[in-house]
Amino acid sequence: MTVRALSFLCAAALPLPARGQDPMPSPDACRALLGTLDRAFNAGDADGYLRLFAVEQPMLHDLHGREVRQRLAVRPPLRRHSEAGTPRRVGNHVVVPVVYETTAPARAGIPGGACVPLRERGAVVARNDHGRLVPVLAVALPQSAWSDDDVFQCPPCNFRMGGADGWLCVPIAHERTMALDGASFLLLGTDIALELSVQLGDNAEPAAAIACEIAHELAQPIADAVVGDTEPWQPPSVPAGLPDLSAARTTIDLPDGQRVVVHTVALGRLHHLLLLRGAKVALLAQQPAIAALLQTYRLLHTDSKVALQAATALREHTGGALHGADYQNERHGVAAAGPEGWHAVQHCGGALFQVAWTCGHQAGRMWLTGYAPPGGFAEWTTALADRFLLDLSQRAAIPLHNAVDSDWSPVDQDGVRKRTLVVPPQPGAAPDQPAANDRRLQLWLRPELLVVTDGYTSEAAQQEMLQRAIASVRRL
Amino acid sequence: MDDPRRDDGNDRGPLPPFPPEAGWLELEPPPVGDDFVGRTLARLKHVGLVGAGDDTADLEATGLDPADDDSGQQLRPDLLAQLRAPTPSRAFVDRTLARVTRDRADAWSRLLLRYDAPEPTPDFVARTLRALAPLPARAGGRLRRLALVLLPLAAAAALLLLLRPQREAWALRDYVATSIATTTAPAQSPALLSHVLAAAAATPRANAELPVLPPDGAWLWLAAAEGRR
Repeated sequence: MTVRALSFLCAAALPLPARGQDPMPSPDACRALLGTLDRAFNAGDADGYLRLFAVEQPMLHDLHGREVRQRLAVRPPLRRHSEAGTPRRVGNHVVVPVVYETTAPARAGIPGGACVPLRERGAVVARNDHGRLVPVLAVALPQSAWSDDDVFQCPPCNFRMGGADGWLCVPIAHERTMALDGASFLLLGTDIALELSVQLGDNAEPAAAIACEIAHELAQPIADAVVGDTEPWQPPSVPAGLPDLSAARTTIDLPDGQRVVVHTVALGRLHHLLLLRGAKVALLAQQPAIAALLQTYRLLHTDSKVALQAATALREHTGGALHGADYQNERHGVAAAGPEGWHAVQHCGGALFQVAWTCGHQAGRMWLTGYAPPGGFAEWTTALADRFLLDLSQRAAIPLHNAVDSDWSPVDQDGVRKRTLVVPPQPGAAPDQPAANDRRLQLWLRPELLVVTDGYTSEAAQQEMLQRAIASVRRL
Repeated sequence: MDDPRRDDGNDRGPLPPFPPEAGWLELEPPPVGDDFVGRTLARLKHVGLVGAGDDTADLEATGLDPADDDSGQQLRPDLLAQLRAPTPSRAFVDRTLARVTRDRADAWSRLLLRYDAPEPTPDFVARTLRALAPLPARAGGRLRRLALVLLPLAAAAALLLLLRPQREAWALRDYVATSIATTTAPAQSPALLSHVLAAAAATPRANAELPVLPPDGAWLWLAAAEGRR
């Protein structure tokens, strides 16, 4: 076993052009590193592939391992090819940007014979182990964002962070963040990460309440997790005493020796969350490095009103705005006339945009949610949308098999296809429950956008209005 | 034929205390005993992987005369004295030690992963309780009732003892692995916070809202690659 493992390590360990403290590996060395990983992947040996890594971030390695195992379980086997970008150095590590192309062999029974290749972006982080490149980490990257200087900033969300020595900034694809924006900062050589996430709350809440709520969300499913008291926190580079700004932090100690510290900065509805995680001993040992990164967090401006900041962030990220009950999104070219008299609110997190209309306590709801094509795909298809809807409805326990289904319409003059489903009331549902009413769902599909509209009302008089509102989704 | 696996263990005195899981990776490798080769061959013969005459047969297969086999011989002292070990490079010892340590850690990790005890399913618990129910009548009514109470408790306690340390040791990684379905995009996020927020979003709501959980592109692509719907 030792000899076998050493041979893998030797295969992955590639000579750098010259010995020294900070030599930049040649393009050939980076290609060879990726070639070694591709060969292990294409050999179908997940354990062998994962053993090539000298793991520094166990949680991220688990995620990568799960992804690799999931793909290697597919039959017939997939093939992967990786293209290296220009490497750069972070601390004593080398970061190699990668474009992965995964292909499935032609297969009878699939329309077209085979899938289009899956194209993904990522980075492989390697360390110089006595003159050789040893991969320590593989992370996914979004198709568009990439931080060459390890600084992450968003003027509409009013923050800037990063650039401290030894920290790699990994922007996170929007659909994965569950937030307006997000990135992870990894202190290479340790298991420490600091995650930045921008949230938009439904209401302006104090930072202490938000930090406490998130800490308990995390701790609740983990036995023996200990949530500490929430305490005020002053971000080191933010001027003290700013009106309408509050900041707090809560510490969670986990039974596996890990510690998570949730820092929250609240600017009205706009929340900046900074989640620090790592082994307790590592966090203590790396306090100067952590302090250096926290020092880089700053607000880009401190003179605008908080209400304006939330509106700016929402408009810049979603591209849409409410005008009374009507919603217009010029960036994504979609509009809808909400039910008259219903209260409308925009949300964020995960989707491109979401608007919720409500009527009374439980009398009626309507949601309009826009989704970008899934990561790795250039556009939506009806088959992708169908599969996604099935997954969503199963999560919400909506029995689609009982629905009256219009099936997909032909493409109209706006390039749109629609599918409408009406799910009848579920037997046995209490009269005040949503399931006691007809549930109307509509998929509105363009290649670059899927809009899911769904709603219900318990007021018979409002059924027609809800139907009109759902049907009002149109191209702008 | 006696099983050679039973030839050791009884005369080695009390075993050392079982270390906690955190200490497993730091354990010294077990010493290789003088009789290691002999015992290994005996076991291989016992399970039929090696025949009694295999040594000779192997040698004959190479085309050599078994009488010429001098592998057990030692070099003459004068020949031995002519050999010199090369001078190791400065980093050789550190590098070798680092690789051996990493390799041992990997090997231990792989071995320990085999012992990932599954959660008992409700069916398993029901079957166990059913199997315990018809205890022999001769045990007497009180004893039987006591056994019925104690046995499940003992089984539960044993399961807890087995499962608790592992759960604790992997709390955060377990959480990330299970907090949200892999069909969703946030399940692939490198940020713990995304998993926390996605888990909250996936919680069923009173108003039956469809969760805002974008699909994972790779999952959809894999489903298509396998021809699944």
